[in-house]
Formats: sequence, structure tokens, C-alpha cells
Amino acid sequence: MAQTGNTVSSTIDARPALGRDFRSLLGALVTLDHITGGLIVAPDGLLIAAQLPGEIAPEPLSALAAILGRELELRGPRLRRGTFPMAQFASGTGIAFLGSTPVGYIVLLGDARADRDTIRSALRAAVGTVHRAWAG
Amino acid sequence: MILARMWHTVRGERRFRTSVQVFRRAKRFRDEGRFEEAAALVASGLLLDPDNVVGHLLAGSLHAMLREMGKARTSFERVLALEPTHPRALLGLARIALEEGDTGACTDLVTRALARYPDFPEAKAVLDVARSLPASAAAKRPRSLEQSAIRADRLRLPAESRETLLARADATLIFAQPRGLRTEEVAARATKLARIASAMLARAGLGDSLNHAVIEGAAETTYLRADGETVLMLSFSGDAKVATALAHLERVWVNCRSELARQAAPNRVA
Repeated sequence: MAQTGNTVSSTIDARPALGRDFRSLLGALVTLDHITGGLIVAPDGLLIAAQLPGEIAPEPLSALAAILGRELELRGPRLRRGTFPMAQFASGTGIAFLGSTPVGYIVLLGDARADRDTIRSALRAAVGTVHRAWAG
Repeated sequence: MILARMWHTVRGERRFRTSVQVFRRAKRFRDEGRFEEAAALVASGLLLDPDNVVGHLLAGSLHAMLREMGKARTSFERVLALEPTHPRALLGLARIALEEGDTGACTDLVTRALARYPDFPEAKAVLDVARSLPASAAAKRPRSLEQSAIRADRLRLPAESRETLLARADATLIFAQPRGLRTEEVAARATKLARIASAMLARAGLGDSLNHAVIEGAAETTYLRADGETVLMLSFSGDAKVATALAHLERVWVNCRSELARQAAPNRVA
């Protein structure tokens, strides 16, 4: 939790090869303040990487994150097919961020105090890094 | 004759051993995110051993990862032709059915998977979502606007909003501006999104219902506000400030709830 969002973003931006090293990529993102965990999941629900609190089972979460990601990817809320770079879903107690990449979805979980702008900025950088690593 | 039989046995064993090794390696590559290499290995493995369940299952998984759902379906169906109750293949097909809006088929498939393998957390999660969604036929049927329509002026919609939509949790449309041929379908989609998001938040230990969502698109951003009964959707251009849009969303939401309460008690003075 020591790194700030900008530091994480800069680190991710500076290392395009990181876009194929999912565990390192996720490891950098979960150091953001008030982020409690995260995972990277393929569009078919396969769990690629996870750093979650012990009480959260990764498999059901990855299955649902992939369904949500695909739903947004295919139709979006307004039925317009295309990419959705990012989405956030808030409950009364916390927030989940979802970023779309060619290999699947990056999910970050945060508590209610999470700074949304900082996290969006870091997640955007991570999504861009994966896109660049997988382009061509 | 004996020599020929031995030769066939040796060849068969060698082929079997080789394809097992190929698929094992492909699975490792897939799990490491090396999808292209994994796909190439699976293709070569299936040439060696065309009826290999693991190979077809891996092929289905890789097709799904590459968003080739038609090919993924074919691979999963091939697995089921070889092993009719394979839980992973049933789950793969269930997910495709859910994507296509066929919640009935999804429920059937995932129930079959759980009958074979009751301790299957992903299948349980998918079943929970499928059961929370309207049945397929009902979801496809256009739902008409409620008779007692809400007056737009009472909602005080922001001028910057491109589209406003209010629907019941069962996707019944309450209010839409503008209203077009696909408005009911959009309402169904928005309520489905809210339910899936609520399920995901619950599994993430973040409560059991969605409060609001911000979904960035290529040209615009969609804002959802929800509780267990109602879903409100506003959309703004992509350059609208998130904080401003969220403030608009909350204000319109309060107005919507107030209007719905007023309609529920029509004799009360507004």
C-alpha cells in the first residue's frame, strides 16, 4: 500500500513487456491505496492471476467477472457492440473496477475510501500496457 | 501377424503418450497466457488424437478466450459427444447460452454440470446468476411502458444526458427518453447488467447489491443507479466529468423514487 497511483501507472507504462507478465502487472495494481485485491480473468472465466483476501473464493468471482465483461463487451448497456475500456461497480461498502484487454479482464476490488481517479488512471495504464504487448 | 499387432500397439501407445504430452504442455502455455502457442499445440495434438477430450476442451477454452464463441461451442459439443456429462464442457456451453440470453438453456446445462460434480464453485456462481434473470422467453418479449407514465418534467433530467431510462428489476420499462424501437431491449440489458454486477459484488465480499455503475464506452459513458427494485440509466458524452454526471444521476434517481412513491399513493397530494 506504499505506492501511489501515479507511481504504479509510471511503472506499468515504462514496461511494455509487463503486459504479458500478468502476475507482476496485478501485483503492481494491488499496491494502490484502498485496493483490497484483484484478479485477471480470461473471457472464458479462466483465472489467469489473483491476489485476493483469503475469505474470497477466486473461482466464482472469476466466473462472474468474465460474464460481466463479456456482457459489456458484446452489447454494453445501450446495446452498442464495441470495446469498453473500463467500468466501475459500486455497492454500499466498496467498489469493483473492471478493465478490458485482448486477453481478458483486469478486476480490482477496493473499499469505500478508494480514490477512483487514481485507480482508474492506474488501471487505464495497465489496460494500455496489455494492449500494446498483445498488438500485432 | 503377431509382429504387425505389436507394431500397432507400440504405435498406438506412442501416439497416445505424445498427445497427452502435447495437451499437457498446451494447458501450461494457456495458463501462462501464451495463448497462440497453446492453440498451435492443441491443433497439432488433435491431429494426432482427434477424439481426445482434453484436447477438445482446451480448444473450446482457447476459442472462448479469443472470443470465437461459435468455434468454442463446436469444441464443447465435441467433448460432450465423447463424454456426455463433462462438467467443464457443460459450463462452457452454459456460459455461451447466458451470453446469448438463453437463461433456460444455461440453467439446464449448469444444473447437469453440478449433478455430475456438485462441488463446482464456478458452476454454482453461474447458476445463481441464471436463476436471478428473467426466463428466456420473457426476456425476449418486448415489455410495454407502464400505464401510469412518469412525467419527464418532474424528473428534471440534465440537458447533457443523451438518454434516460428507468425500468423495474424485471425489465419492465417505466420511463424512457428518447424512446425508440430498441428501448425495451436496452431496459432488459440494463437490468441484466445490474443483476450480474450485484452477483459479482456479492462474491467479492462487497455487499449484495449494486448501488451505481460507470461504464465507459468508445464515445459515451453510461451511468447506472440501482436498488433491488429499480434501475435508472443515464448516458453522457465521454468528456463529461464523472463527478458531475454522478451528481446528476443521484438527483434524477431521487426524483424517480419520489415519482414512483407518488404513483404508488395516487390519492396523496403531490
